[in-house]
Amino acid sequence: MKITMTSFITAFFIILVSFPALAANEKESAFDRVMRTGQLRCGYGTGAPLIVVDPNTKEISGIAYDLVEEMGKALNIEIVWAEEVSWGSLSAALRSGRVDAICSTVWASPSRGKSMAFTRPVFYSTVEAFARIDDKRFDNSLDRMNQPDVRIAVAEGDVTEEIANLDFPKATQAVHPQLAGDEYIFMSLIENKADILFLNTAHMIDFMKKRPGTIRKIPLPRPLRVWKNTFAVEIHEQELKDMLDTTVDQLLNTGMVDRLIKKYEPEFPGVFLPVARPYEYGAQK
Amino acid sequence: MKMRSLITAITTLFIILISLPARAADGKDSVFDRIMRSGTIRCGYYVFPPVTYRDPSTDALSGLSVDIMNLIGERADLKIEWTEEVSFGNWVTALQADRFDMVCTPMWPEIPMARVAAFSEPMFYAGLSPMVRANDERFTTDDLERFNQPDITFLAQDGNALASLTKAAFPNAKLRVMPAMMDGPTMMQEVITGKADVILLDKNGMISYNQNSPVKLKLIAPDKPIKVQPFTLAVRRDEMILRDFISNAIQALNNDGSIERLLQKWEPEPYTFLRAPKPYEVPQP
Repeated sequence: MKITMTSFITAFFIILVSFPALAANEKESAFDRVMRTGQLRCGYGTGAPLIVVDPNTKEISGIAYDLVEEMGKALNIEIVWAEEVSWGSLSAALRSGRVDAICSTVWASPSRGKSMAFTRPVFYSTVEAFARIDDKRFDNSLDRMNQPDVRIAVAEGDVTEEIANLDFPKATQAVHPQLAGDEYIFMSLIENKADILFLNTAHMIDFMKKRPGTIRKIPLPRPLRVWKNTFAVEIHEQELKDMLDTTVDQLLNTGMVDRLIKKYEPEFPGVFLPVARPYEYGAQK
Repeated sequence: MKMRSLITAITTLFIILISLPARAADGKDSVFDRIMRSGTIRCGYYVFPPVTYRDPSTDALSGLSVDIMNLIGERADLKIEWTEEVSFGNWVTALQADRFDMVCTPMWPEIPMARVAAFSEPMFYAGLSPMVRANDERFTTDDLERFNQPDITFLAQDGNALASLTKAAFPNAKLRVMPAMMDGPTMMQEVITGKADVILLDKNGMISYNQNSPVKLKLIAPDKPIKVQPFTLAVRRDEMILRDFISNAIQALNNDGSIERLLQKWEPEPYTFLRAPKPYEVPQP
């Protein structure tokens, strides 16, 4: 009996001593998983020119797709386009561990910064305000936009709702569910269910191909927002972020990002603001 | 019976241990995790115009830093709590003692300080130039070499990076080093009373002093600063996620013009501070 009890206590203490190590390693980090499997599992939101999914073939294309595939080559890891994620669920997808990174690029807003860590930007893009083609009430007047009689179309939980809340609190919001999609929000403007919407110019260009002459960009002194287009990882994944940062730097410094912007620029003019160089050339004659 | 009690006790202890994996893993929440859990950033701060003003009757704080932090709180849905006033002599100790989460008024990211604190992206900048008595006839031109003479006495504080900066820029001048705890107005009196000739300072420091003093000071060659000083926010050295979160928020506020608007609101004179450059390039039409 004495021997059994001693053995039991010894076994218990062995377990106890090893416990912190077990707890520490309980969940493998995304970085460790990427290193172990040689695969980066990408979550992605969709929208031209970042990520476009062919409805028939399911083939993925777009500037973000090209960039991340180049990053995969540089890192010698396979890029797995694992899951399409709605723009409002990016953080949840990362937290669940279903994906390692958001690869469609993400606008690095402060509210997203609570749950996501962002890489260096690959380029910048703007959010502008749009109105019906014949509606000139808001030209060069942010104050006119912030009135109770103005209806702003926003998508629930995304940055358009954030901009409306913060910059135009007196205006009325026409809130649409995320899943309704950009087309639905555009239509609310055309059908006079809203007066203004906030979007990246790329979305407007994409939409105008289908419905030319229906909406216009409201001329304002400056864009409503200038966002960094970054890749995102779960907030605690500093090692993975650092690895992707280094790779983004290489794509920027080798001119790869410039080449890809040039490829997409003709179809989406003015959409991409290049990252400013962090260096200057010496005086040139 | 004894054996059964022992097994029961050990089993209970084991269950308790299993329920505390996070504690076992690292023993302590990070400051960032605590902020996310509590929804509040606890700020250390100093009072100096225009960064912070304190209403003498209500103790309410206002100013540039208060507005910037409140805007970050608004964008990220976090409460900003102004927890403790600090001095330049005790802020590191207070930060390390966890009396607050970060310093929410601008700090200069000096190299030695980076051993104990991590600094955010700059919100804005200021140039440091020689400041002398306005009636000192020796300094009537922008000739900075006039300061690098043995008959000139500079003033600096013990442990302050301005001492090493002064030595490097003006090696032939004398340097009078005052105790680290000496306050700003007392330091200025050394120059006013002629115990020293010059101190390196920024335009805001000069304006602030001149507003309350019959004897005026002037900056020499403010367009050729000895050093351009970034104004950043400080967190604990190991709080890199919090540092990144704050940096991202500052970039967002700079990119959408919010910090520019607040600088215009609070600066004692236009362009008292230097602006952060645009991190993107605007293609020329």
